[in-house]
Amino acid sequence: MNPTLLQIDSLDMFVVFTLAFLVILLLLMTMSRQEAKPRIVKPDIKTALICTSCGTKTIREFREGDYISKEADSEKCPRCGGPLVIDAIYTEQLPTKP
Amino acid sequence: MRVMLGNLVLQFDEGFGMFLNAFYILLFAILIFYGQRIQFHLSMMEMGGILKQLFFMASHARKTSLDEIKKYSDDPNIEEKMDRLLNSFVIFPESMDPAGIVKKVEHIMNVREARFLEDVRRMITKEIDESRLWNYSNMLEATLVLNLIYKVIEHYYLLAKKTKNFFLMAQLQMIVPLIFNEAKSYLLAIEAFRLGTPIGDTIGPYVVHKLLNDGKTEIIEKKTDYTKDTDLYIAERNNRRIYVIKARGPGGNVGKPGEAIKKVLSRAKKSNEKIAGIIMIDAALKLEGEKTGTVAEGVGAAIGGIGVEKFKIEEAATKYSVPLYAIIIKQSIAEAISTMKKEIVDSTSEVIRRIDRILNNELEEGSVVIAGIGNTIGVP
Repeated sequence: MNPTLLQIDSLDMFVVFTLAFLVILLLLMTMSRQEAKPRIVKPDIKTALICTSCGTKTIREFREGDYISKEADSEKCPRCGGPLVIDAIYTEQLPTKP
Repeated sequence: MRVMLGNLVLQFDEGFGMFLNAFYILLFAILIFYGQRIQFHLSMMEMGGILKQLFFMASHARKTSLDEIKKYSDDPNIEEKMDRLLNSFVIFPESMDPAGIVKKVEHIMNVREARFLEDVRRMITKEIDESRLWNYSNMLEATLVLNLIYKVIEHYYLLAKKTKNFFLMAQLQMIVPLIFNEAKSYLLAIEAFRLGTPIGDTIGPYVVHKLLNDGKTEIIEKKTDYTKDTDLYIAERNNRRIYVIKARGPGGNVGKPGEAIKKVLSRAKKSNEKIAGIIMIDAALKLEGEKTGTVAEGVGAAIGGIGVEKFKIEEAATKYSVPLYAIIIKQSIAEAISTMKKEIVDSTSEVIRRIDRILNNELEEGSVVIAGIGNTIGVP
């Protein structure tokens, strides 16, 4: 098989190099731009309740109005039916990208 | 010139080498004469992007706060009132002659705190409980900080752009990642204050609340508002009289623990009661390599803020020769002002163990003051 001969004009080459340089510059500029809107991630908040009769701990989603030592009137201990108080309010993991 | 690429032969004409050299010389010249300008434009584009994000954060914070307050207000001028609050400022006293500056700073800050809370109260037209009002005041403070961060960064960005000052832009580019992280933390703080959940900084008040309610402490008397927005519990633990101080909750409030400690020491002196030590529990900023919730002990006044309360505690402890012990719970700035992380909650038992060890083994006979320092949001 005969080799294929490709004639390259130096002016074409110059244009290609210059264009490549400009493209790289443009890419760098685009990469350095930050995303315009940060994501707002709401934290997953848990409320830990403790039974004042038997000490059983239960965990549920946080509800507005919860605070430490608040008696959870509408909830009862799943084990003994005793009254529950809020023992802790926390989040397992802090959103890294708000 | 010929280059063999497998079955392909590339044949360059004689001028190729010359043009290649010309290209490199041109590139070199561009970078020599316009390198800094290119760098300036790259920095400007990056800063522009960050500024857009900061603007988004400040706007989101304002909208969240406004929507929340509107639930308790039908004031038609609420936006105007809120913007006036978000653009409010504090002028610190002159420090050329520093003698007596703490009292001046305290006075200015007391006026500011009272006025800010009253302004929030004036925005509310429906019935609201005091705790929620405090939480809203904290939420608006965080919104104000975000607004301020955006305005300051925008100021330096526009100044650098206007004067085409590469070094100003470079300085901004160096400092912005740190400020940006802080802004993200304030955005999380707004959500915590809106919901009224304990934040990382609440660990001090949370520990003393647990200490008072773990069944080993006998509360003798509770003095509500012993000093402004601060409660005092007189109790017995491990056969020792303890004075427990914490801000009044569950609204977002730091109280005046310095004033309370000073008052306890002064009254104890008058009644010839010996105070064997002061134990302060507070959240502290961790170093990047440290784990969240790590407990450490030391000496000195463990309290942040502007310095007025710290000054009072140090002054009173020195005056009455009372040793100051500090227990800190380490966390990042983001963790300190957003909903408390489980690791921080889990450190409570370790802190109480250390308090008991100090009470039982390290202090002389006498009463002990235990102060839970920090914002007591979510903890009564």
